[in-house]
Amino acid sequence: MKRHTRILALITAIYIVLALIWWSILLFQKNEAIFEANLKILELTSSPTVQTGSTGLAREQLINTYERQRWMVLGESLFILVSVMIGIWLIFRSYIREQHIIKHRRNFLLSITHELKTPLTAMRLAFETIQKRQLSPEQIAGLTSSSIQEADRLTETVNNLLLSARVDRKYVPRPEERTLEHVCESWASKCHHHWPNRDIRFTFSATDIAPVTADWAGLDIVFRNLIENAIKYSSAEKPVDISLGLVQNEIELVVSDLGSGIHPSERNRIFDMFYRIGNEDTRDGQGTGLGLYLVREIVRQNKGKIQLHNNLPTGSRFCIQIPL
Amino acid sequence: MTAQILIIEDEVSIRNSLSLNLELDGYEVTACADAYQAMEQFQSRQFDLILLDIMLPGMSGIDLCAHFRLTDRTVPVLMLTARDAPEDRIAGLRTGADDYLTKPFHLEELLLRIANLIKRQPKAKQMADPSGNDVYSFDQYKIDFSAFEAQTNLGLVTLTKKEAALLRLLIDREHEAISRQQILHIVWGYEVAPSTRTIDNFILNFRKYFESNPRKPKRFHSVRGFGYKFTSR
Repeated sequence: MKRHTRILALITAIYIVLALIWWSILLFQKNEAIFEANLKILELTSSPTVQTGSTGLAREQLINTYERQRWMVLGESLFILVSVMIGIWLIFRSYIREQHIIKHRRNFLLSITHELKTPLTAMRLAFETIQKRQLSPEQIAGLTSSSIQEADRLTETVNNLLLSARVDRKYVPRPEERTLEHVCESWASKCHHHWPNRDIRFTFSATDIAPVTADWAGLDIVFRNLIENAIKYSSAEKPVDISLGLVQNEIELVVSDLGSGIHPSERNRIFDMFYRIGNEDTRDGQGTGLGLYLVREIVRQNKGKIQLHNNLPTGSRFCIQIPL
Repeated sequence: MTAQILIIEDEVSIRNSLSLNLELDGYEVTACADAYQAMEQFQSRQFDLILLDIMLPGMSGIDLCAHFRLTDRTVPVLMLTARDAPEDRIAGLRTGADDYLTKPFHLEELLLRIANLIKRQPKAKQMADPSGNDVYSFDQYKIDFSAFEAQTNLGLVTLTKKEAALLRLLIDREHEAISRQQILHIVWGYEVAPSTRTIDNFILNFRKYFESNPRKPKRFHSVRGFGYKFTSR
């Protein structure tokens, strides 16, 4: 919305409120004038010397009606005023949201361009180098392994994109049986494969070893996105703690890092689609702004909840609870 | 003498492959992962070409290019980026980049462009600087960037390094509003930046130097809540 349109909207809103107040006061005064006129008529039509019982009754009725109408005008005015204020507030809020979405969309386009093109560039460059140059086997091995990593990264981005396109409507949790031990092992081995040099600590707590039925495929995605963020936003020498367990008939997954943490003003927004902290002109880390959105949606479809706390001494702590 | 190339690219695999290729072609390569490392390298020695990614952590490649241009008008800068919209290219070229290549690119094309830019560099240096003077004039004023002097309302004044850098930035980006934050990034770089109040004081001085009525500035404009803009006409 342009500046002058915004000013026009503001003036209109103020005008509506002021007009409403003015009309209410006017109605109030008119009501009073009618009451006084009626009272006068009553006094004129009745005998000036003797107050009969019927005149007194009529007068009382008049006063009652007047009082009722006064309250009615006041009530209606307040009701309409509050409705108008709520309406204005809702419009304003959705406008602000719209502005955020537009900004996020631009950020998303920039980040998705970067996230799709960078691995392609890296792979292409590696292959062209191998094709063009006489390289030692070690150099070739280095280029090949970095290309494989880039291919994995590209796959991940494409998977997240495809999933985010259907997660809001068509995602259906698919319960399957797995033991917590098995889940932890598979997650730990994936972590070791992706980040061999990072200190990732698993704590696995379960009272029994019976298989647990849950949407494990969805939880895999949740876990992957949380651990990726924890790795991305904490420095290489800092450990990342993961705990998985059954707490009061709920699966509880906690991922804590010792990174810089998330500012309270960003906390509500980080789960929004396309939202990335900061500006895309400077990129502080890879990502498309889809990860935490997927986490929220999958947890929601599984009727679970997410809590985000400050980790001590620094960093963030994501706690996911999924009812069984 | 071997040509020296500075690579600034935050993606490790691309940075490594580029370094490998350029080294195999006989260049001496310094590779940096972020803008601040690059600024330190840039200050410590002379490069024959800068290969610059646009989306960098901490500071955008466009601002980094503007920072390089404050002190070195001629070093060829080749921008590499995933962003291919015309406005991105224009923004890159406007800050003084010499060439622009979008990712993914052909290795051969990149190597040829690098070779050409380096080959043409001595000629470009001569053309840009035939007498060793670097002077900008507007109205009745004259700024000599090489001597750090300016003909002003107060006569001939000596400019500090930072004053000259800020003037250069505003003049290079004439008609474009520059935020205080960007000014801090570009002019002060990785040094400990002062408060934005310092920039306001610099502009007050410029108005005293170069405005006929400093209270109603016609050249150094304030952009409310954002920063400053220079117009020569």
